[in-house]
Order: sequence, then structure tokens, then C-alpha cells
Amino acid sequence: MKAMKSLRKAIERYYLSIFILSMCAMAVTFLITVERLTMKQIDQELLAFANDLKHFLENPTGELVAVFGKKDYSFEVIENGKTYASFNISEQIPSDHQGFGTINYKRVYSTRAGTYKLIVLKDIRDHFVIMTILAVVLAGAIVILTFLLHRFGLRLTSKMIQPIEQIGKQMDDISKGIIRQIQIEPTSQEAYNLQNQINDALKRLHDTMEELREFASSLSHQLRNPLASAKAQIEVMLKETDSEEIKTELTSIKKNIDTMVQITSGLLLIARAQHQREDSFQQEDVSVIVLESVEQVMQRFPQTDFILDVPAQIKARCVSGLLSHAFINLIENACKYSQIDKPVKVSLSEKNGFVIFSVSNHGEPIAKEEISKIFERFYRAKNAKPDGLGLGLAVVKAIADLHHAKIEYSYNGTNCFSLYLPA
Amino acid sequence: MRLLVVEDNQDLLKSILRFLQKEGYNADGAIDGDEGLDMAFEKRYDCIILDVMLPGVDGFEFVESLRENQIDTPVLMLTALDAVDDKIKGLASGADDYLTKPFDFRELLARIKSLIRRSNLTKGEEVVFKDLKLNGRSKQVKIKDELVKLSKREFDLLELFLRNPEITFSRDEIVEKVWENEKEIRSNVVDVYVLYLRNKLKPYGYDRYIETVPGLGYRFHRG
Repeated sequence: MKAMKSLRKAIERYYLSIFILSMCAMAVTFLITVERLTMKQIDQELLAFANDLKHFLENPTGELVAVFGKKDYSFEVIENGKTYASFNISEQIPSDHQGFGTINYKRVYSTRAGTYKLIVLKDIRDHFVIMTILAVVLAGAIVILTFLLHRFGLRLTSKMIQPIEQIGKQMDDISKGIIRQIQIEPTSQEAYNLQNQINDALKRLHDTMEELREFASSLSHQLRNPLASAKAQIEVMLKETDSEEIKTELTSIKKNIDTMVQITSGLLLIARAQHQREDSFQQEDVSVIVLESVEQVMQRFPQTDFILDVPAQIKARCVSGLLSHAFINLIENACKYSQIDKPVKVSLSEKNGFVIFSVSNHGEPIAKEEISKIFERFYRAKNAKPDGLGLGLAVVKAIADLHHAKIEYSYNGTNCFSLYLPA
Repeated sequence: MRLLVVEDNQDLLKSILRFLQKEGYNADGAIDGDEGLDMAFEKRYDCIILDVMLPGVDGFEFVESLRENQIDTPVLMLTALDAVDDKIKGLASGADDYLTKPFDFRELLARIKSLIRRSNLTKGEEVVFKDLKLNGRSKQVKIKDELVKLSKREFDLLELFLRNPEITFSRDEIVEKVWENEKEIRSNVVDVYVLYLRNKLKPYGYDRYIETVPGLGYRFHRG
């Protein structure tokens, strides 16, 4: 599948960019306002200084201009292109300069007073430094705030996304196991609605499956009595007839009936395993169950040799009537797919809180892509025997699930199926 | 040999009766539990083949009622396959063996024969060896009045040893005697069961009486 964008990342990127943009806009507006206000202040000071000078020039007898303590200030008085008086001037001011302006970190104001041209300046280097510091501080604040928002927002988004993730996780479990209702902590009305909608759909699915299962189960059940009668009648006829031709026909009919019996058995066992209640579990001697299962298979495979490694009195809580069917099916499969003249090994052991039943044979390994499928109902592997029905391992799976047991397949020179049963 | 078959499916009942008659048995049939009980009280049968699901008195009640009236005719129960608990319930209510439907007549016949043989062999007899008591009828083993839980095979094996002390059995002979009609049992199963049996007797110190005779088999040595 193509990698999809993460919803969480998309939301995060979205609000972070909006946040940074608005913060920057605010900071710039703030800086411009501060700049304007201080400039206005400086300009008024310059104007006042210029007016003092003008007043002195027009009334030379008046008070002296107090330039002391105003080391930032400088001035120049020009008469007919020549400097009449000056203080602290280092810059070359263009002669046509009029009104306010900024030259080399200095605020300049030029005006006329009678025949004189009057130029006053103020050093505003400090002002620039302060503005730069202010800009840096603001930028730093934005970075820190963005970082904090990112951290805080992460929690917020993950909280918002959480219901979706919870639903995903629970649906994952459901698709692996049994259908049940989902339960999330809704953080919004939408999440709550989504939960209800999914639960409605799940309930319908569950009901449909249940109906189907019950149908299969009751159908199988209903079929068994007529099958039992038909089988019995054929067996009696087989005994009574002398015609070889009729015998052959009857034997073939009997074989077909046996197949039907096997199908109904498989379906009934699966239904049974899926509906078994936990309270029917009992502490059982698994060693005995295994051995009895082996005995049953021995009857059907007179040619096969068995190696048994089944220590006494290994116990576990189980439904013995069902567990034995799982063992029988696994051992039978091992016999069916074993090389002729090679033994089938059945072993039972106890390890780390598990009772481990293993059966191995010398046979063709199962292809990797088939391993997950062979436990499906009616699935027939490529090298399956023609007489199989594809139900045996599905029965094993259903019974294993009932017991919360894990089935493992491995190939290590021999094919090995293991059932891990919680003790 | 007189057999009683209680089965509510008429076709199946007819076929079973015909088959058993062909095999030389004297078989009666009953279509429900009440009729079957009346017949079982009236005549003495060697074995009763009983369906669990019966109208009226069901299979379990049938067996209980038999046993309450001191009729210890062996009962072979026919159960539905998916009713796993039925088997346990059937055996607990006093039935001797069970067979799931549909079954092979060969199998049915083998089970009937084995039940009859065993009931003739062990008619309530008790074998006592020191503090060990084995009851063939109730299938119980007690050591110093303490019940030793044995599986069916373990019990049969112990019974064989106790009834034939000092006789060395080969593994094949044990298979023949204990597994009777299951001819295909390999002899290594015998070894496993002997091991199981010894294991269960060990706490009482009785495991040492079952001896391995190298190259031959096993024997019960009273020494």
C-alpha cells in the first residue's frame, strides 16, 4: 500500500504554520509601532532643540543655548553657504537637505531661520541597538513559544486522534480474533458517533455469522441421523448380497456417505469449539488424551511407525473431548503426508507454563505463503491428498482457539506442528 | 446371546437388529426409553445398546434406573458427536462404553463383544493384592482405601497383571489382551502405559511389582 500522510502530522503542521505566521505578523507590527513612536519622540526633541537655536539666533541677546549634557546632539548654522557656527558635527550634510531625515545613524532636521540655514542632529545609534535587541528577543520568544506549542499540541492532537487509533487497534484485534463490540474513550461527538456506527455494523456482522454458524451446525446435526440410517442400511445390504457388482456399488455409496459424515463431523466440532463455555474446562491428564489419540490413529494407519515421547501425568485445563480431536487430526495429517517407511514422532512436554504437544513427520515442507491459509475451512494446499476435505486443520484451529492455544509450524528437516496449551 | 437395542430412529433400529441377527445374536428392539426399560426389567440381556437422545426417558435416566434396580447389564451408549459432555455424563451415569453416531457395524460388533467378554470375566469379582483392591465392576482401584485414579487403559493393564501374576507377557500379548480388537496398536504404546501405571502406583510403593523382563516383556512379580 502507498504510504499515506499521517493525520496527526498534517494537523500539527497546519496549526503550527498558522501560529508562526500570526506570531511573526504581530511581532513585526509591534516593532514598527515602537519604531514609529520613538522616532516621533526623537523628532519632537530635535524640533525643540532647533527652536531653541532659532530663538537664540533671532534674539542674540537672549539666554545661551544649553548644549551641555546633550552629547548626543550636534548642530550647524550656515549663512550664505558658510558655516556660521557648529557643534559636534562630523557628517557631511547635503546642502539641499530639508525637514527630517536619517543619515549614518543620526536623525537630521534642517530648517531656515531668517538668513540662516539651521541643521540639528541627534545620534540614534542606541535606538537602533535597542530595536535590534527587541527584534531578537521577539524572534527568540516566537521560537520558544512554537516549541512549547509543538510539545503541548502533540499531546492535544494525540488526544484528539486517540479515538481513531483506539478504533484501529481494536478492529485489528477483532479481525484477528472473535467479533466483539469496540469500546473507546470518545473525545468528541464525532468519535462517539463513529464508535456507535462501527458497533452497529459489527453487531450485524456478528449476528449474521452466528446465524450462519447455527445453520451449519443444525444442518449437520439434522443430516447425521439419516446418514447413520443410510450407512447402517447399506452395511446390512452389503452383508446380504452375493452379487459382486452390487457390492462394489454399495461400497462406493458407503464411501460417499463417510465423506458426508466427515464433513458434518468437522463442521459440528468447529461449531462446538466456538460455543463451548469456559466452565466446561476441567483439569485433565493430557498424557492420557495424547496416547488415546495416538491409539485411534494407529488403527487407521497400520503401516506407519510411531515414536512416542509422552511423559506421564502432564496436566492442563481443557475440554478433553475436543482436545483429542485436535490431536487426532494433527497426528492423522502427519501420517497422511509422511514418506513411506519413515516414522511419525509424537511428543508432549511442559515448558514455561505451557503444555506443548508436537507431532513431526518426514514430508514435504509447506510453502510459506500457504502456512496461514491451511487453517482455513475447506482450503486445499497444493500438495493436499485427494481424499482430504480441507476441514481437519480448521477443526484444530477452532479447538486451539477455544483453549487459547497457539499453533506453530516449523520445518527443520522434518515437518513439525506444535500446539502450545496454557497449563 | 440376547441383546436389546433402544433407538428411536426406526430405520436405524431395523438395520441394527437385522445386522445383529445376521451375526447370530438374538436381538430385541425398543423405540423409546419407557418401552426399553420395561423390556430390560422383564428379560435378562447380555448387553444393551442405547441411544442417548430418546423421547420420554432419555439414555442417562435409563442407565441410572437400571443400576438403581441392581441390573448390571453392560450398556453401550450411542451419542451424538458434538455432545462432548454426553460421553462423560454417560459414563458417569453407569454406562460402560460409548460410540458416536454414525458408526461402522464392524466397530459396533467389536465393542459389544468386548463388553460381553469383560462382564463375563469380571462379574463383580474383586482382586486383592496386599493393600491394593481392584474392583472389576466399578472399575475402581483402591490402595489402603484410598482411590487411585486410573484411565481405562491403565486399569485394564493393571487388571491383566493382577489376574495373571508371575506370567511374563510380551508386548504383543499385552496389546492383544488389553486392546482386544484394536489390532494395530504398536508395542511402544505398551511401554508408555506401563510407565504411566508405574508412575501412578509409585506413591504407594507398588510400582516395583511390575517388572521389566529384558527381551521378553513385563510381568507382575509378587515377591
